[in-house]
Amino acid sequence: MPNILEVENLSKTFPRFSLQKISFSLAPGYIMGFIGPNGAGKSTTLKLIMHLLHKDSGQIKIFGLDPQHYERQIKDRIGFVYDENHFYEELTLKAMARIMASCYSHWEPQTFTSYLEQFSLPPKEKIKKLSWGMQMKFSLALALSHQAELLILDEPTSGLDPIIRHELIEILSALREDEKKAVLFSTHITTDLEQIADYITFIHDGQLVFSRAKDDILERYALVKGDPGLLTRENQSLFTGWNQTRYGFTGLVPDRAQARLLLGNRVLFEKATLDDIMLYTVRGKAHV
Amino acid sequence: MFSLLLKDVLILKKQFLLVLLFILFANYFMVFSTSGIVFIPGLTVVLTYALVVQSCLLDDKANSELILLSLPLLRRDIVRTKYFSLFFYALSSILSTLIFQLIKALLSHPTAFSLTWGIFLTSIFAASLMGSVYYPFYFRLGYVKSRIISTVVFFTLFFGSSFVAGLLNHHSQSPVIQALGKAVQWLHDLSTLGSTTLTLLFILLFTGSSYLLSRRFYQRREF
Repeated sequence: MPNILEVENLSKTFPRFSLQKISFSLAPGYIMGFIGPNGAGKSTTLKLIMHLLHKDSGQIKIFGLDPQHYERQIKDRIGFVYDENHFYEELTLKAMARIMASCYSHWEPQTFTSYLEQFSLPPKEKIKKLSWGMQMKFSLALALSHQAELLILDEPTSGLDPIIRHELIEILSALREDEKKAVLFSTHITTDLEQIADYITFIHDGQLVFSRAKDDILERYALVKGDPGLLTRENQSLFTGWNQTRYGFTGLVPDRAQARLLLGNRVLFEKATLDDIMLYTVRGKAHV
Repeated sequence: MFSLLLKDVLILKKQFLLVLLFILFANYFMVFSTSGIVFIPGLTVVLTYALVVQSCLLDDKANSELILLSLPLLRRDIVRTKYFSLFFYALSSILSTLIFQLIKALLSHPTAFSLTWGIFLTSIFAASLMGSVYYPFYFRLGYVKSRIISTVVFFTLFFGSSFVAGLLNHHSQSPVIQALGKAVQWLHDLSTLGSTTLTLLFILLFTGSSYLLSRRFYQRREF
């Protein structure tokens, strides 16, 4: 089945930041986690995909179409949640939904109502009276109510309580079962991704670190703990980053098998989490 | 376009009520002039400007462009609707004034006057001129930056007319002014059909050029 989203060599330069040749693709039926520290370029990438920013070079294809020429058709099939709410505060949820509904060709009022009930959102309440978490839930309800085939979520879980976060993860998992849909999910809370993501795309400082299957990443990367004396110049090249004290070191290796071959049983190997991978990649060779 | 117009109407509900109250007040007390030819176009421009700016302010306050541009809408739809709503506000203002004047006429109020075709066209022309000046700044610079420039331009247009009139009177013997006077006389002598066609052509020219400029600016904006 063709990819729902293809990003190839995407570049964009600002006076103080540049996104450099980002490439990844997302097939239907999968959830991709999009991770990176603040200022890495996640929101810029998502804005380029949504055509809110103009790319300098590279290619974006959504549903196999060029967004510059088929913007309306493409956006009719995309559901989005941004990291901040940009709704009109004086409007009620019902009025805001009415505006949005009139834009989509496949709006489902029953689905929207059921999400409002599920998230305990009162339709006649003004948006300004909702808490931040409730506004985010409202945003999610809107994104999920028009048969979107691609969901683009920019930090949707920050500010949500654990119960709603769990509900969201369940909803996204259910969406994945419909093999025509895909989710691009940018977040800082990588534990959410460890539960549901199939692929992880990691960017740092405007550059792609990797875009691979999550299981493959978690299988290959490892945390290594050992005596500081083992961190010889030769061995250092095995590590993406490490943290060293006078009693020992903890480092991240991107190839567990190769590290095991060279370091053997002199060190302890532990499973690396996405948080570890992000932390050690960003901090690099930090010493204490 | 319907969705965006609906959005403007919904977010401006309170402002529409305020405008209605203002029209009622202005019509009752005739605060501007006793002549319809000045009163209605003046009121139309002021109220249309107020609604246009309020709509842009509320869009800016919510930073709603991120949402609007993520919906299945094109940038040109957004620009087009802003121009369309300009005429919608102007027509609403004229219609409300007309209703109040009709009520006054029914009550045999001494200051009641009827809306002529000429007054109607002048009102629409004045409102479209105001919008045609405002929108390119808005779409190029956004609400905050455009506010200062547009306020200056608006007040220059609004109050500058009396200054220009004074200047014309003072230099009434100059050949340029006399030529202008002849042109005005020619316009005045035109038949209703002629003046209507000419006014509509001017509206089309100003609004059309302004729309194309705004569209060009907005296509390049980044959010």
